[in-house]
Amino acid sequence: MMNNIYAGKAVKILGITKHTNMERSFTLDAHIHGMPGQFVMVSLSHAGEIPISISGFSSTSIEITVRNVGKVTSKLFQLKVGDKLHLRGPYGESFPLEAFDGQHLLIIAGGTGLAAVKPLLECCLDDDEYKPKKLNLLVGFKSPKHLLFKKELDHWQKKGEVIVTVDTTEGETEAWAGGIGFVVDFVKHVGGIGPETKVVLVGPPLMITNIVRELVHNNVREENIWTSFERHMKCGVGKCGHCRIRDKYVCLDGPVFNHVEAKSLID
Amino acid sequence: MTKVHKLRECKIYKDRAKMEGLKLNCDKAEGAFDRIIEDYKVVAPKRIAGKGRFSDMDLVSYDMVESLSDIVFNDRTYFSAKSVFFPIRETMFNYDKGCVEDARIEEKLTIIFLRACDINAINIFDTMFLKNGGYQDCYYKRRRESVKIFLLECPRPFADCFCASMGTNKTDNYSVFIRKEENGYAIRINDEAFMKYFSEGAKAKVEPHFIEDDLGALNIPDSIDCSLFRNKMWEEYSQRCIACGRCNTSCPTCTCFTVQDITIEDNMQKSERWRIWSSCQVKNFSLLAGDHDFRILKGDRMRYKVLHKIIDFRKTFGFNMCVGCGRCDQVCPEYIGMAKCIKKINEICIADREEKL
Repeated sequence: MMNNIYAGKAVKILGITKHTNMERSFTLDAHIHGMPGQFVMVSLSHAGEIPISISGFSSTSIEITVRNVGKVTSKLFQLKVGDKLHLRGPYGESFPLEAFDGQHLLIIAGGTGLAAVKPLLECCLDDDEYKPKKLNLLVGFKSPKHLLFKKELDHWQKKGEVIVTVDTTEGETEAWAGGIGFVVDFVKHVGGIGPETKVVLVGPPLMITNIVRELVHNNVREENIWTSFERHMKCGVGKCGHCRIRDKYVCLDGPVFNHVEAKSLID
Repeated sequence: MTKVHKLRECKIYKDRAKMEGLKLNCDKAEGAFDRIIEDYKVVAPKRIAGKGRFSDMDLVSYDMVESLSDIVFNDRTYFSAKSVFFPIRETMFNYDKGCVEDARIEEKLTIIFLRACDINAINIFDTMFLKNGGYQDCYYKRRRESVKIFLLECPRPFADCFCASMGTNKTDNYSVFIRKEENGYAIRINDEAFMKYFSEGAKAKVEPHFIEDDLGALNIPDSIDCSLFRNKMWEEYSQRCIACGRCNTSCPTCTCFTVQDITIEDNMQKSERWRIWSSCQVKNFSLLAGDHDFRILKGDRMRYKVLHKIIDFRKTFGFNMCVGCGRCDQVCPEYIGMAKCIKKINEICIADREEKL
């Protein structure tokens, strides 16, 4: 047998959490020693293979969180606990944990972007190795029914400063206690933002552009901002060419980029 | 400025005296070739009558050859030979009832007749598939390891070629060089493995001639300013390009591929995972699930491709990705010119620099 970099390992689904109609988390029987910010390639025969960020680690399993928007994800949504899928990875560069140690860390996420920063949050809150001196989470969803990780959000709220916002509450029957409006408008509500605040920012491209502008306006230095890129990928190992931006491959050099570098990466 | 990378591929003959070469008449050369094709599949430029791009024109294309007389020595091929080691589509995995198996291939030793630019192009393939990111692509590797290279000489620069400008005009990474002469063939053997096929013939000094000067020499800028991304020069390509992707398919250094799962209708238990050539000029190259896309304008796709070929690849690996073979100019149905585009970029860079001074 060849040493095949594209061959995944069959892993069992241990658990499925339904967040919304469109989003589910899958706990997989995979012993992967990844770092927050890295991704795996998930493969289903008859459908294909896609990159998905790791949304949680334990010593015996990993968790991925998937939005049902394509061919592979819709097949994934038909699977049940006990079914198998193929997995390879972890791939890519992680968030620079050591840069956050003893610092004020602000994590900003939009929608499913929360999945990509969840391991980072858990690492900062629950591990003792890297401890920011102050941690803020600012997370925005489309509406209250689009909320992900409700249980975890409650848990984090007890341990750090968390702002949860929704773009709109139109058509909602239940009362909403969080903020209403775009995430960018809530940056000013985060206390203690200054030049040395470290910011991790994950979300749709337009949200990133707007929030970076707002952060810089609040005197945050560009080298203190990190973003995670989402790009079309077919291999995850720098061969297929789809995720290349200039001389960088998002799968190899990213998905986490410091903003100083990220801003020179014009697609 | 541009360094030509060395292929690790052939065992260069230690005794230089033996490398000098041979002259063989046609019969003896064909005899040697007959012995070679017993051991190797030979792929070389071949004339295919009436299949050219215009009426009453032949196509010169890479194909299997069985005689030296089949080989077209003096014309450039329309497509490169890359499909030999990077098939247009290739099965990666076979799936059957939940089991997965690596696709097998018949690994027949293959000789490809290539010009200097195309030999240097293989080095770019090696770089992408065997080095980039520190990962080795096993599908590429197994085909590549069965390839031996024979050098073809360029009698003159072809239209739109600019190998000398790209530094890809020369190479010593070949097993055998063959030149067709009036009454026979001149041969230079660089690889011990091929000595045994050439037992006859008169010793002679045989050196390949390489192109020294391009018809239109180009300067490649060392680096570019980000303002080039917003330059109006790209608008013309948005107007002109029809996103057919021929420039990518004809390019000897375009390595991008996509992956697709194919279901066999009669047997839903079975499926195959294929990889297929992919083109950065064609729609949906970067489309994300959820319909977010990048480089919607064709001018931006042209910019993405050209800057990769002359700037971005070099930033990582130290040599350019474009080898100046000129095929993309020849195949473009909208007469878009790579050389012209490079020239324009260089002019803009010079003007920028002068403005800053």
